[in-house]
Amino acid sequence: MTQDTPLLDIRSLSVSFPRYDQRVRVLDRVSFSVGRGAFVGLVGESGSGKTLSSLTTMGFLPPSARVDGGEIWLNGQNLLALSPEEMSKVRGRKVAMIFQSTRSALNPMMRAGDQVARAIRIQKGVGRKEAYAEAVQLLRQVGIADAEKRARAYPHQLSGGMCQRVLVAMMLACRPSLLIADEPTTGLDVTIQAQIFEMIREVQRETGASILLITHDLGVVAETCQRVVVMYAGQIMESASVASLFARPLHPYTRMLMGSVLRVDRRVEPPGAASVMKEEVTYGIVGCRFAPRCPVALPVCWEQKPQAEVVENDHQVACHNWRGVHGTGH
Amino acid sequence: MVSEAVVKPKGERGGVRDSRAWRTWYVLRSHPSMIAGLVVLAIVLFVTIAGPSLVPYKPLKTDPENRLLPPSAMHPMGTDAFGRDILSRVVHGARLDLFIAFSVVAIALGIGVLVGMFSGYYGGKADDIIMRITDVILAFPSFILALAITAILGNSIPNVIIAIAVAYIPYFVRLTRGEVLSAKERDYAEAARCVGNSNWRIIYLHLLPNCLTPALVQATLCLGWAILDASGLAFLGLGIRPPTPEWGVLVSEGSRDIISGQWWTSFFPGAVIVLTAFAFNLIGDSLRDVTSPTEAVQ
Amino acid sequence: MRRYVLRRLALAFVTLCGVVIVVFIITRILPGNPAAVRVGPYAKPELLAQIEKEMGLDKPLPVQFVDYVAKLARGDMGKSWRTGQPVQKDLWQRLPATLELALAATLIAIFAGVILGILAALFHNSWFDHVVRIFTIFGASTALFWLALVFIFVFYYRLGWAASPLGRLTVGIEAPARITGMFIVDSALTGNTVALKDSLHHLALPAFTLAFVVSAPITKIVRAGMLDQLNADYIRTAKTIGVPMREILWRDALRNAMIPILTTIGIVFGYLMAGNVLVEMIFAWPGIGSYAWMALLNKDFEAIQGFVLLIAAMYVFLNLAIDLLYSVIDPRIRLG
Repeated sequence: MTQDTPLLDIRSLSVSFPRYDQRVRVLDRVSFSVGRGAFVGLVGESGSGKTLSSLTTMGFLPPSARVDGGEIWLNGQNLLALSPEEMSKVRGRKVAMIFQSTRSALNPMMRAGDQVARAIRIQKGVGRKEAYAEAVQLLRQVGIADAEKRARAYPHQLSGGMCQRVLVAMMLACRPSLLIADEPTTGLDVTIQAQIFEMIREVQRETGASILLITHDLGVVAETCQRVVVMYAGQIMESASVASLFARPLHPYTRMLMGSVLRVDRRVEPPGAASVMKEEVTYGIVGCRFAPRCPVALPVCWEQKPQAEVVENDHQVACHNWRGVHGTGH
Repeated sequence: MVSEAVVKPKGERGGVRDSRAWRTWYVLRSHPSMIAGLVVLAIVLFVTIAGPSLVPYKPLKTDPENRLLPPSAMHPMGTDAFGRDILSRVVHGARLDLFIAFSVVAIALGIGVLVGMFSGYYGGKADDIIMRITDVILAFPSFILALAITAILGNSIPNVIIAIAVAYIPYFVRLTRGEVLSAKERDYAEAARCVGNSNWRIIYLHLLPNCLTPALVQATLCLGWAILDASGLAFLGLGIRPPTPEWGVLVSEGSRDIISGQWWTSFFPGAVIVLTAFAFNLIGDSLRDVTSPTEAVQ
Repeated sequence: MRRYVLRRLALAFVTLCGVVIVVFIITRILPGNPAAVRVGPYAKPELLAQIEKEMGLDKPLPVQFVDYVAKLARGDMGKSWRTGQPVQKDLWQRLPATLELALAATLIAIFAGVILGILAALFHNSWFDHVVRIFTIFGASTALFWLALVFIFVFYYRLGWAASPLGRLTVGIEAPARITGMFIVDSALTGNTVALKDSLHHLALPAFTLAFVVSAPITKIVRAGMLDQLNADYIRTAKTIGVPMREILWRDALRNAMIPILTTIGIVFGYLMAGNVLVEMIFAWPGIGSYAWMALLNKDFEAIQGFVLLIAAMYVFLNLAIDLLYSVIDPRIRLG
C-alpha cells in the first residue's frame, strides 16, 4: 500500500430502493476516492445521494435498500464484503461519521461526559474513572468551555453547537482513519459554523485522519476543502481540486450550481428552465441523469452514461458535451 | 441543442403507477392483515344482513327434546340447554351486536369530534374545562364506567349504547382537538396572509378532512371494543338479558354447561365475538399503519 | 422538577374531585330511581317512601351532595344493602384478594410482554415477529370472559392441570394467618407450605387468563418502542463507537422506550380492573370484582358506588405514580 493509494476508494457503487413493486436505483455507479490525510468535499442538492453513499460506507443501510453492485475499498478491505460483526469492528476505528442531526445523535438519557467516556472505554479498554477524566479532557479539546460542568449535562441542556462538539469528541476518542461529516453545521449559527470547521481541521491535524465533508453549500467547500466531488441524482458529475473546480467548472451541472459565478464574457444558457427534478423520469434514465435539465444535452446523453474523463491532473468530468459549454475549450 | 426525446423509465407501463387507484391497490396488497380483516368483516356483515333469513331455526324456539346436542350437520354449532339451535341464535345476535357497536361509535364519533373541534379551535377557558372533564371520564376504565351507568339507567339496549358511548367520547375529543391544534399552527400563518377577514369556516372545512383519518382509525378500533364491552356487560347480566340472542348473553347462558362438558354452547358465540373484534382490530391497525406519515415516504 | 411534581399532584387532585362529582351524578342525577328499583314495581307507595328516606333520596340534591362528600371525607361509603356492613369495610376485606390476582397477572404480563416485544423488534419482519403481532391483535380482541371459560374447559376439565375454579383455596385447607391478606405472601411469610402450594395452584389459572389479555398491549408497545429506538440516530452513534449490541438494547434502547411502556402499564391497569370483575365472577374469587358483580345483581347501589369510587381513585393514583416515575427516569422532564 503506497502513499498514493487512496484511503477510501468507492468503485461503481449502485444502491437501489423499492418503490411499490419496482426498484429505484438511487445511487448509479458512483465512483470517487478520498486520499490519505485529504479533506474532500462531496457536494450536491438534497436527494442527490451524498448521505446515502456515506451511510453505505458505514454499513448503516436501511433494510429495504440493496447494493446492486460496486465495491467500497477502505485500507485494503472491501467493506461491502464484510459480515456485520467484521463491519462493527471497522466502525469507529477505521471510519466514523458525524451526522446531520446533532442532538438526536446523542442519547437523551445519558450525560454528555458519560457518553464520551463510554467511547473511550470501549476503544481503549481503560477503566471508568480514567475514561471519564479523559473524556473531560477531550471536551475541553473540542472547545467546550467549563468542560467539567458540561460533562455532567444532558444533551437537551446543551446547545446544538455544543452537541456537535460532544459528537466530535466521541469521534476523536475513536481516532478513525476516515471521518465523514454529514452537513455538520445545518441549523447552526454562521459563527458556530466557522468554529465547527476549525474543530474538524484540528481533528485532522491531530490524528492525520482523512475528512469527507458532505454538504450542499459550495461556499463552505471553497473555504475548507482541498478536493471537491460533485454529485447529482446518484451520479458523480465532476471531481477536482477546489482551486481547479472554481477556476474552471467543466460540467454543466457544476456551472449551474455556481450560477452566480458565471462569467459575463461567456455565453451560457441560464439555468432557468430547470424546474424540480422529476424523480420518475430522472431515476429511469440509463445515461446521464442531468440530461433533462442540461442546457447542452445531446441525444447520446440520455442513452449512455458518460465515463469520467481526466481533463487535467486531478480534474475529472463525466460529461459527453463538456466542451459544448466552453466553446473551443481552453 | 436540447433533446426533445423523453426516455421512458424501464418497465414503465404508460404511467399507470402514478394513478391513485393503482397505488391504493398496491398498498392494500402489501397489507394482508387488512385484507384478512376486510374479508372476515364482509362475512360477518353478510351473515348479519342475510343470515336471519337463511337459517332454518327460529332463535327463540325451544325444543327440549333436542337439548344439548353437540355440533353436527343438522346443528353446526350444536344446541343449547333449551334445545335452541346455537347457530341461528348467533346469526340473529349478530344484528344486535353490530347495531350496538355502530350506534356507539356513531354517537361517540359525532359528539367527540364536534366537542374536540370546538375545544381545539376556541381554546381558552372552555378548552380547559373540556379537557378536565375528559380527564375525569378517562379516570374510569371504560368498561367500569359503562357498567355503572347501565346499572343505574337500567337494562335496555339504548342504555347500553349510551353507557358505552359516553366512555368512548373522550378518545375522539382528544384526538380531534390534537389535530385541530396542530392544524391551527399550520394554517394560522396562511390565514393571516390571506385577506384579513378570511372566513374561519373555510379553515373548519380544511380541518375536517385532516381530522377524519385518525378519527376513522379510532372509530374502527372502537367498533371492536364496543362489541367486547357490550357482550361483557351482557355476560354479567347488564343491559341485554336472556332470552334476547346477543352474543354475550349466549356465552353466559352456555357457561353453565361447561362443567358438564358441553363446551359448544359458550364456545361458538364467544368465538364469533372474538372473530368480529379481531377483524375490526386488524382493519384499524392496518389503517393506522397505512395512514401514518411514515408510509407516505414510500 | 418540583414544579412538575406539584402540577401533577394538583391535576390528580382536581381529577379526583371530578371523579367524586361524576359518581354522584351517575348515581343520583341520572334518571332512574334506585329506591324504586330496589323495592320492585309492586311495592306500596309507603314502602317506597320509606326506602327513599333510608337511602337519603328524599333530601334536595345539594344537601345530598354535601352529605355524600362529607361522608367520603370521613371514609364512609355508606352501608351495603346486601351484606349490612359498611361498604368500605367490605371493600377493605376483599381488596387483598384482588390485588394478589392483579399483581400476579401484571408481573406475568410485564415479563412476557417485555421479552416478546424486544425479541420481536430485534427480529423485525421475521416469522416470529409476525406471530407476535398477531398475538397482540388477538389479545386486544379477546373477550376475557370467553377466554376464561375456554381455559377452564381445557386446563381444568380436560387436562386437570388447573385447580377447580372455585375460589382461592381448596375446601378444607385453612387460609394462612392474615398479614397482608394476600395468601401467597402470607403463607410464605409464615412458612405455611400447604397453604402456599394450594393458593398458588388456585391463583395460576385466573392470573394466567388475565395476564394473557393484558400482555398483548404491553408486548405491542414494547415492540413499537424498541423499533422506534433502534432506528434512532443515537443508536447509530452508539454503534459507531463500538458499543456491543446487548448493551445497546438494555442501556440505550429500552431505557428510552420506558416512557411509552410505563404509560401503557397505566392504561393496562384499567383493563385489569375491568377484567377483574369478569374473572373474579367466573373463578369465584372473593375480591372486589366479584363484590361488584354481586352488588349489581342485588341492586346494591351503595356498594356499586363505593366500588367505582375505589377503582377510579386507584387509577388516578396509579397514573400519578407513573407520571412521577417519568420524572425520575427521563432527565428531560426532571431537569426541564
